[in-house]
Amino acid sequence: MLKMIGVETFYGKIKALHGVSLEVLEGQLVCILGANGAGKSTILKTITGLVEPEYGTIHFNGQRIDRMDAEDIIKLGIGHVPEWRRIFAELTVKENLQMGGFLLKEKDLIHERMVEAFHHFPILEKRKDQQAGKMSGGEQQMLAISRALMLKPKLLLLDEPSLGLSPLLVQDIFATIKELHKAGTTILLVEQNVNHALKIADYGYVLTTGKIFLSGTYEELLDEEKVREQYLGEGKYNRRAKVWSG
Amino acid sequence: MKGRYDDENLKWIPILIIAVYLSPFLLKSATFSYKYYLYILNMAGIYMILTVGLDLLSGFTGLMSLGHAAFLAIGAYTSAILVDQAGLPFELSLIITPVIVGLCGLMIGFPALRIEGMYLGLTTMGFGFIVKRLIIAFRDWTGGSAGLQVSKATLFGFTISNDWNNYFMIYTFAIIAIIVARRIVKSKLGRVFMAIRDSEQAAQASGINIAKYKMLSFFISGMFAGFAGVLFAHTNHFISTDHFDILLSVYFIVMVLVGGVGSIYGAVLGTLFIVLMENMFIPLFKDTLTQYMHLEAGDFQAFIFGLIMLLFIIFQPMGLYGMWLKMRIYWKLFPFNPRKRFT
Ligand SMILES: Nc1ncnc2c1ncn2[C@@H]1O[C@H](COP(=O)(O)OP(=O)(O)OP(=O)(O)O)[C@@H](O)[C@H]1O
Ligand SMILES: [Mg+2]
Repeated sequence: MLKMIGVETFYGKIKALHGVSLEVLEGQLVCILGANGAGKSTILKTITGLVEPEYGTIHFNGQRIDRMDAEDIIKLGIGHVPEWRRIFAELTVKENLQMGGFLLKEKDLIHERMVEAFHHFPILEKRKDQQAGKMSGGEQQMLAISRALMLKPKLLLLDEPSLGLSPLLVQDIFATIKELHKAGTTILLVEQNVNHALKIADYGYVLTTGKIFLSGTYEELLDEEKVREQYLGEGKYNRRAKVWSG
Repeated sequence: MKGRYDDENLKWIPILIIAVYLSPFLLKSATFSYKYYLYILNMAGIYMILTVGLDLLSGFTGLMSLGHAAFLAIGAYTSAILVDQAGLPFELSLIITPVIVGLCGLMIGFPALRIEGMYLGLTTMGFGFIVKRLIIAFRDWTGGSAGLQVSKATLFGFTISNDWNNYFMIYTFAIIAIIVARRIVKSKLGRVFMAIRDSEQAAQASGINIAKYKMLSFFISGMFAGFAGVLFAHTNHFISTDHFDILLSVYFIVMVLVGGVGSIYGAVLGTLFIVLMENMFIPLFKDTLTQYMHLEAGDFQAFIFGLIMLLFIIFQPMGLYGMWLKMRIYWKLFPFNPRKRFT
């Protein structure tokens, strides 16, 4: 469904991606792991055209998208939930969802999708006239996801949905992601929460400073002691890694 | 628009509009120097049209501009040249000039696609310097640094000859401008502007072409400023580069900030407040204070406005308009510890 080959992305002169290749098959839930600054968000931003790659190709359903505008890429059916649940803080929940449906021409359709979102997350319906920025972190994340779902994307890119949420909410969010996946959405998930993420993922990539370092299924990756070392840092952090993984 | 100013109650708007049209008569019966007050109110009315447009750009789209005095200048000079030198009717200039200034806004909008925040402020400020230089350079048309006499406005055969008539013309247009701005803000376009302000990345990820809408915001804001410029030229009858100093751009930002960013009515209140301060309140103290503090008159004004802005940013970020909304809730809820709602 999605295929990146040798993608290199720059921020000015800084090279953020050093030839990244990865693939997401239809119906899969693929996870990208990596430390801070590894370039995870950059991969997602490159896919949706928020930044343009210098080298390499990206194909989506057989169509080359790496030179297209964000608007057109999104129209093809890629949804992107940016990092830090970037909701429109001063718009209401309803208006946020309307913005998510910005590309939809018919008002009825927007309304229909909104009702679906409310069905999925009843809390959003209760808060529908509230300013989005005044909601809790978990509610904001649900809103950010619902907003991306307004266009019914075939592929959903999720950037660290568990960031800054309490453990209980993290479980909620992952349950939601799992549900979405079951319902047939292909998902590319970026996470730092290794265990949670790998448990629900079909396949994982580990990224270090702009390069794919390892890839494999949950079992393969968990076996690799290297993952933890590389991902959580070597030596003195190893002990903490053990604590985290229980 | 629900949201930051969600406790709005707009029933008093028609009453306010009637008050706007009655106040010259009240002023006339109250004081002999009413013409002076009308002159000041006229200035406020013209600036309002501009600050309402500035609020659309800075308050709603989140794009800082320190170039609005330059847009005002382009509007004023363009209209003076079109009407007095090219012989166009004033009514036509009222339509063409704002479009021209809007296009200048687009020109400035281009760099805005790449720069943000304070740097955008500095860039637009640089634009102000360039415009000033250009006005002086094209002295055959603009009169250079000596300034330019401008004809009176004529609307449908009537010559708008004095401050009394100017008042009714300016405030009619100001009311229209405010209504148009409110319409924009409440439309889908307004929500797109706010979405871009709140998060460019999320706006892009929702399929919004942010470059297009940022440019559009500059265009619209330029049009408001251009419209104000036309009225400025033909009611002031004389324009020079001194009327469009860089500092004026800063004052416009202060007006929007003091009134309450992102509310349109806030810009109106803030403009009225600052213009009245500048012309009525500050002169009362100027003499005594300059004596003791050894400040030039202009410095003193800048000092006061800086102070006002600082106080507002710290204590009342929602501005005068937000203050008024809070006061209303306060009285409505009076005995029931309303303070809680404000924190
Ligand atoms: N807008 C930008 N301008 C310049 N450099 C950037 C920009 N965004 C990211 N970078 C740099 O690119 C590299 C990759 O950043 P990216 O945000 O993709 O990392 P990440 O893996 O998502 O990290 P995190 O876990 O902190 O979100 C980093 O070195 C970062 O400093
Ligand atoms: Mg990131």
